[in-house]
Amino acid sequence: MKKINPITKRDLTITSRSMRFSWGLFAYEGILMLVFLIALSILGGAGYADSNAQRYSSFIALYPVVATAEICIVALIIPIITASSIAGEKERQTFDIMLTTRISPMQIVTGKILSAVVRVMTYVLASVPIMAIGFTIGGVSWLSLFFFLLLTLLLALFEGAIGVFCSSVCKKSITAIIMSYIVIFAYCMMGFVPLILGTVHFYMTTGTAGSLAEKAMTFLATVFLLPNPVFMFVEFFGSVITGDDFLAGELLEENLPGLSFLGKPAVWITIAAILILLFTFCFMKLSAYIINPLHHKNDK
Amino acid sequence: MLYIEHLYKNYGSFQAVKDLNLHIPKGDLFGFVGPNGAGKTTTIRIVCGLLRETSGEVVIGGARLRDEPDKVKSYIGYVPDFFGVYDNFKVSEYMEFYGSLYGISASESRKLTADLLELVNLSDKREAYVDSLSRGMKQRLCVARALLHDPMLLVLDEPSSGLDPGARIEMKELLMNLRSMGKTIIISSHILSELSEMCTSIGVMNQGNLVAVGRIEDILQAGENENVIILEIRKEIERAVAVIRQINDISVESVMENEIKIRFPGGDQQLNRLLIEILQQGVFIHGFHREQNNLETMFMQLTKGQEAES
Repeated sequence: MKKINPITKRDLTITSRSMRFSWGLFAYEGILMLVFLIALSILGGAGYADSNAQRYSSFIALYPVVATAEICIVALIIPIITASSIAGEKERQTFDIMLTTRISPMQIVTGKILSAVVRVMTYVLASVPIMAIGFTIGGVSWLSLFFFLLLTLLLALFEGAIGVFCSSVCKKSITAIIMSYIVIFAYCMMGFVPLILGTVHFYMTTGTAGSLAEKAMTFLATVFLLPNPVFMFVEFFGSVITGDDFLAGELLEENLPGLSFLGKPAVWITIAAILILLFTFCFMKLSAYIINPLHHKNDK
Repeated sequence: MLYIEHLYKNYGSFQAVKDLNLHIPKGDLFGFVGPNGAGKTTTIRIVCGLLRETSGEVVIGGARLRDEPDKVKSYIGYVPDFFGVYDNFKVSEYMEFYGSLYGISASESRKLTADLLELVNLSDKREAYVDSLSRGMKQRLCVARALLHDPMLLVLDEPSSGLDPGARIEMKELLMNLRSMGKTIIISSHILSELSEMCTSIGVMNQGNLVAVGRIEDILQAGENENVIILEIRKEIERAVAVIRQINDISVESVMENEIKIRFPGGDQQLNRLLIEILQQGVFIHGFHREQNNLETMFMQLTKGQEAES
């Protein structure tokens, strides 16, 4: 049996003993429950639907609401945990000792990401009963819940890798946390820039579909949106609720028919997941390179 | 055991270590001394693989640090000057965690932990939380941690800084014990009296240069070319100082109420001539004695000379 990464094991031992983790779990479930109840009361409200059947079918909207709340919390928590991981070791002055041992920088990075992901996935798994109510009432399949958990895990890994990267660059935890929020926000928003520019261009040129400029913008939007976790979740929710794609198909159909296969949500999500994993690995390798003192000739 | 050849470390235009050459044989307890900013910690960090050298070569146990860093890491146990701790972590868990970082199995680690905690006199603290230990205990625990993988070379950077006298004595005894077990130890410290009692050899660093290196006795002997004489003068000490200052090759080190400490080059004949000259100037000397060379005076001589040059 393969050994557990010692850094992950140590971090989890320490975490499990602290009250902060228990309070965090309590707060996480509390927020999610609150979101669920508010969404349920709005969707089940008297003025919202004409009949009980309509009211019941509108409960499917519970799913994206609760799931989005869950993703947002995960997206906010992961940078806090991971960005303070290596920077925290530096602040405690335990990092040097760690570097003199036989553990490799890549193992340190992996251990730090895994411990953060395990912690966050504990929160997520603990919220499955709340999610399950949403899925049961909302009429979404259990398979979708499984894929949702899988994509949340992917998001946690990706954000964790960015957090550890920022942590390896910065000396202070607080700087690393701020930096990781900026990097994650910039990365997610950057994906939408060509799409927004393309849309603006389309309206400014009175909508000449199929023009070279539009094709170029569509191509760029596709390239930028493919590894974008926000768009991946948008497509995922779109496919679960409507059974069809949200935007990808429309984006590609007219301008890039050669890439129209990407319009199918499953294809888009699979490629997006692979690319995000690839980016995760790149951030991990970069972090491992940065923390290896023997790579820096001019460092203090 | 440890070979350092033509080692340089630059931070931009600042040279922290300049052409350092050092050989420490197996079983030696080597003391690294020097004022703050002399380059001791930089050298130690390079040896431990925590900093990359600008140029030069470090070879430990036959392995080149640049080519085989992992092998070199397995040869070294490092004890930093500050002991960082994790909250909610027990002494036994601390040891087992670092054991796992060295690839030691849990069962082996537990056995080693018991032995090492006994060696550093912390057996009764096995289940205590690390952050509840005193600074002296933490430092000894850190030594035990550094010995987990049975390294050939133990490197300690200011291990006694911030320790009370009792803890310092315990640390000294521990290091002497390790030395008798055949470990090669490098220790950097500001507490020179402590080093002179423990170390077999020392290296004095100043402004990035290794200004003296060798057996303590040899270094002290070499320093005896320059004599420090304490003259006892009970009357007109100001005039005596003025007279002495006029004599060539003599420098006045310090002036006390009835004593003048002077430094001059040469042996006994020169000393006789010097005393006669002072007496001829009408200064009455009640007595005189040669100040015995020790590590402190040697250190002052070696580092002062360099500072004056710079």
